[in-house]
Formats: sequence, C-alpha cells, structure tokens
Amino acid sequence: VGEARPTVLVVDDDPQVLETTSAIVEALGYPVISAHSGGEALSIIRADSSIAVLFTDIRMPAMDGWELGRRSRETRPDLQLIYTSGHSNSPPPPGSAGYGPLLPKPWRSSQLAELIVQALTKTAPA
Amino acid sequence: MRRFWEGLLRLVGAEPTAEAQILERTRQRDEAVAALRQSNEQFRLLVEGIEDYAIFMLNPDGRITNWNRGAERIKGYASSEAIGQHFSMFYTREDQRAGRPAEALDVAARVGKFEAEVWRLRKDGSRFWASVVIDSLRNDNGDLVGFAKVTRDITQRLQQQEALEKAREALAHSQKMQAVGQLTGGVAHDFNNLLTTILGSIDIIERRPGNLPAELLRLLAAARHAAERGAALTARLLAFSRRQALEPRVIQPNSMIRAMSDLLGRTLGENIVVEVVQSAGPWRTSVDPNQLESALLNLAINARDAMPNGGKLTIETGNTYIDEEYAAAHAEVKAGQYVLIAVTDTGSGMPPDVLERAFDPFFTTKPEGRGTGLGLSQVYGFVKQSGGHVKLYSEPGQGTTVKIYLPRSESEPETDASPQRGDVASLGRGETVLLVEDDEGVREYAMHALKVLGYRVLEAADGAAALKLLESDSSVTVLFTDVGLPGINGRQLAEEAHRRCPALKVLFTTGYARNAIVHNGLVDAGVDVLIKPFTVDRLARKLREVIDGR
Repeated sequence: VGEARPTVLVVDDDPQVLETTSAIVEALGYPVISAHSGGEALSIIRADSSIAVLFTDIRMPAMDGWELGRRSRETRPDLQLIYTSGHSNSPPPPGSAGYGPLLPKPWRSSQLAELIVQALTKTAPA
Repeated sequence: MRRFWEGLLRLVGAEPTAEAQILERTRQRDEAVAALRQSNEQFRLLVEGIEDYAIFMLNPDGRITNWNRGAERIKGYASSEAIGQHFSMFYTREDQRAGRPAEALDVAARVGKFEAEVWRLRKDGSRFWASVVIDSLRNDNGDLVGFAKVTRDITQRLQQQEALEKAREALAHSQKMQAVGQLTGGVAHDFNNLLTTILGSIDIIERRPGNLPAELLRLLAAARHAAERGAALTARLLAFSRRQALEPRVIQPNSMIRAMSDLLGRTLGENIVVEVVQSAGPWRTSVDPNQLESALLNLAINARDAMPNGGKLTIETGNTYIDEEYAAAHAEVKAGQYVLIAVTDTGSGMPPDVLERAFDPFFTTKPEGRGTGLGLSQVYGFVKQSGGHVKLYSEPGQGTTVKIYLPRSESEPETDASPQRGDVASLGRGETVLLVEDDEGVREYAMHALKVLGYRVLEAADGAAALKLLESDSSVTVLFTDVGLPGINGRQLAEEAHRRCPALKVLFTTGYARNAIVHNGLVDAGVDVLIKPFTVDRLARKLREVIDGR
C-alpha cells in the first residue's frame, strides 16, 4: 500500500486563524498550503493537483467560501470540501449544499481531524 | 348636541304672542301647536329610536325622567326600571364614594357641559368604557330645569386601542431583540475567530507534552479551560442571535421529554416534584433535539431557582392552533398549527417589569455569580430560529409558565443520531500500529485516523501479509485487526502474532455486535474490541486504553 501525501488547502481572511489552522493541519500529519482569499485559493487549486482537501472559511470579502467551493469544484470535481464559520448558520446558496460538512468555529483539532479523515476516505466506514 | 337640545327646549317653551285678529291668531296658534306636537312627537320617536347612544334626561336632582332605546340596550335597564331612579346607579362604587355623580352635575350646571371617558356599570354589574356628555337644560329665564345625558359604549374602541398599543409594543420589543441579537451575533462571530486561534494553539502545544514542565502544562490546562468557557459563552450568544448551527430532525417531543425526566429529577433535587402531562396523538415538529433538551433544562433550572423551598414543575405537551388575532398581536408569529410545550413552576414568579426584560441577554435577577442571564435568551433565540414562538406568563407569588410553540411538521419522524463529537484526550505518542483490514475503504479511513492521532502505521490487507510485516519490523506496539479476514481470521492472527512477540497488544474491530463475536468463539471474553463504525475519538480512546493496559 503506497504512502499518499494528500495536501490540505486552508483558506481564511483572518491571518491569525489561518496561521493556527495551518499549524494544526500540519500537526495532524498532512502537508498544508494556506491562502488568504478565495482568489488566491483558486489559483493554487488550478496549479497544484496534490490538493485533496479544501478547508475554507465562509465569510470572506470578495469571494466567500460557498463561491470558492463552487468554483473550485468546476476545476476539480474530486476536490473534498470542508467549510468553517463563526456564524454557524450562514445558509449555503442553492446548488452548493452537499459539497461538504460545515465545522462551526471555534472547532477543536479533534473535530477537524475527524472531518479530514472522512474527506480523504470519502465517507466513514459503515 | 347641545345646540340641538337648546333648540328643542325653545320649542317646548315657546308661547305664541297675542296680537292682531283673535281668530286668525287662534287658527295660527292651533296650527303652530299642531305642528309643534307633530315635531315633538317625531323628535321623541327619533331620540327614543336611537340605539347606539343612551340618551336620557335628568331632573335637577339627578333623577331620570325619560329613557331611550339606546339607554336600554347599553345599560340593560328597561325604561320602567330606570325612570325615577338616581343616575348615580350607573357609576362604579369607587366613583360613587368619591362623589363623582354630584361633581359631574355641578360642572354641567356651572359651565353648561360635562364630558368624560369613564367606566360605567350595566344592570348586570359588568363594566363598560363610556363616553359621557351631560348638558344642563335651562328655560328662557335661565333656571336650571334638568340635564340631558348622552352616553356611548366605547369599550370596543378602547380594546382596539389597547390591542394596537400591544402590537406596537410587541413590534418595538421584537425590533429591540433583533438589534441586540445582531450585536451579540457580531461579537460572537469575532470571538469565535479569536477562540479558534487560542484553542488551536493550545491544541498544538498539548500534542507535545514531553517538551513542557508540569507547571506549564497546568497553566496550559487553565488557559484551555478559560477558552472553553469563552466558547460556551459565545455559543449561547449565537443561540440568542439565532445563528447557532442547528441540526433539526423531525421528532415527536413526548418521548424525548420522557427520556429527560431522570435528568430533570437529578437536577431539581428532592424538594421539587416533576410532573409530565402528555396529550395523546401529539404532532411532530422539526427541531434540533439536543438544543430542545438544553432549552428545557434551562427552564427547569430557572424553575428550581424560583422554588428554593420546593414545589412542583409541570411539563405539558399538546397540539395547538395559533389564530390570526394572536399572531397579529405578536411580532414574528404566524398563524397555524403548533406543538406546544409548557413548563410551569409554583415558584416566586416575576413582576411585570422583570417579565418584560426576561429574554434580554445578561438580564438576571439571580445573585451575582449565580446566573449568566443567558438561559432564557438562549431559549428565545433557539425557538425563534426554529420558526417557533415563546411566551412567558408569570405572577408574583403564583409561579411562572413558559410556553414554547414549535411549528407542526407533517414529515415522517427521523431516527438516529449522529455520533457525539468530543475531544481527543488520548493521542498517540509515535507508537507503531499494525493495521490489518481487508476492506480498502475502512483501511484507508483507519490509516488516516491513526496518523492524525500521532501513530506510525503499517498496513496489511490479510493475516499473512501482517505476519510478514511483523517479522521485518520489531517496533510494532499494537496489532489493530479486523476479526473477519480472508485466510486466517483476526483471532488466529493475534494468537500467531503473540507467539512471536509476547508483549504485543491487540485491539480487534468488527462490524458485528460484541455478543455475537464472543458467542461464536471468535474472540475470548475480556478482549478489547472496537465496534464499527468508529469515530476517530473512539479509536483514540480505545487504543490508548489498550496500549496503557487500562
């Protein structure tokens, strides 16, 4: 069985949250790339096919997380999405539902770990 | 109206002057008198026939001299009952004692008119809100000959005004709550970002416990504790501002409340009796069951604090209909079918000024340090976010009832519940785990889970491959194997592995219930088994138990 190195792309407009989140993902054992905005994230996704999971904040200026999720799926239909938000009930716009789970802030690293594991294995074993 | 009556009087008191020819005068007078009689009669009929106004006359002492149909209808007395009586009988007892009837006649006599909106009594003793006008009646010489009274029942207008006022207040209150909600929601959003950074940083430091002296670890634990409290607080603020993450499920609240009664009993103590009254054939509603439970617990705790000397807590469920009228009087409430949950205590109750502010965040009547003032706010926000309505009824000394209305759902009830999230208290310390699993999906999931937990992982799809790996790598601490494997099964693999490495720990996993495995003799009782499906958390705890020999 090969040793896959799936990369997690972390997106948050809050630089402190971005830094901590990236450090946690790294501590969980995954290579990580961080982006400060949806636009930056999109160009990374287009350029780097090793990215397996997109972990993005929802409330961001210019392009929000839902929009980023939708547009990155256009480029990479197999990309796994996990959303996070400090306003947990920000409703997804029509069409973006079902793209991935929403992890409300403040999350614990164990919760993120669980979702990354599930994303990388698509679904939990039944 | 006054001019009308004065005109009437002039007519009644008119005397034709006598001059010119007697016959002519007599004829004219007869005609005039006949016309006057006719006019008087018509006027009497007109006044008597008026139904919407009580119109009647008093003599100068205040005794009733005539009575129209409106008076009969509004006040309830027939003219035979009213005529000759003193008009003060329509006044309330308080007004009578205060001398109001004489006062009113006095004002009317002095300035010609008395006007007021006051409570008056009907024959049956009920009160009505009356618009009253009393005009003094004087003859041409200016002598007081009596009073004309016109009374109108404006109770309905008063009720409409009150209803309008109530609706305005409700709207203002709801706007205030929304403004406060927006504010707290914004604060909570920013705090959640801060807390994510704080808790996340603590997580990272705690994953390397070996590098820190015990004293710093204690401080770290204190920091985590404080951050967790902050997280709990922002969660309640989000709940109030209707922005918490809800996971609604179609449920029928009765079974949930029954399941809660143990917990309630423990929370409330021995001095408080809990009674659950449930209607038959209850409707279903779509609501987050965990949050509903927490709302009911909040209400129970409030009830307990309101009953320091004991009492009774009643939880009642039923089906109800909110009508258009009720909906109009309450902001953000839609008419329709609702599931009602009413929580009633026999405690100290609340005065109106406290009742009015009871849902405000941080408003509390509890002593400093006892309550956050967020319990009812949380209930309010949760119910509103769920499309429902919550209403408080309370009287000092009588107790309090909180009514929660949740919109009826016609969908089929959902069962199940997603696994509880918790913290990984038990992480790996770089130990090597030999993972044996023939299902590729499960193996991949377990491999990732073990890695995020901080273990080194070796994988095998069957027993033979596993034994080969065991031979080549002596660092394996624990064998984590499926029971049902192709070739040699998990139990046989574990026995064989034990022969080679006697210190090896073993954790089995299987999709079958534990009883079945033990019964079939696949594994012995007392061995460690993790039932599928498992979460990262459960795997973390179980693995730590096995490795640490607990």
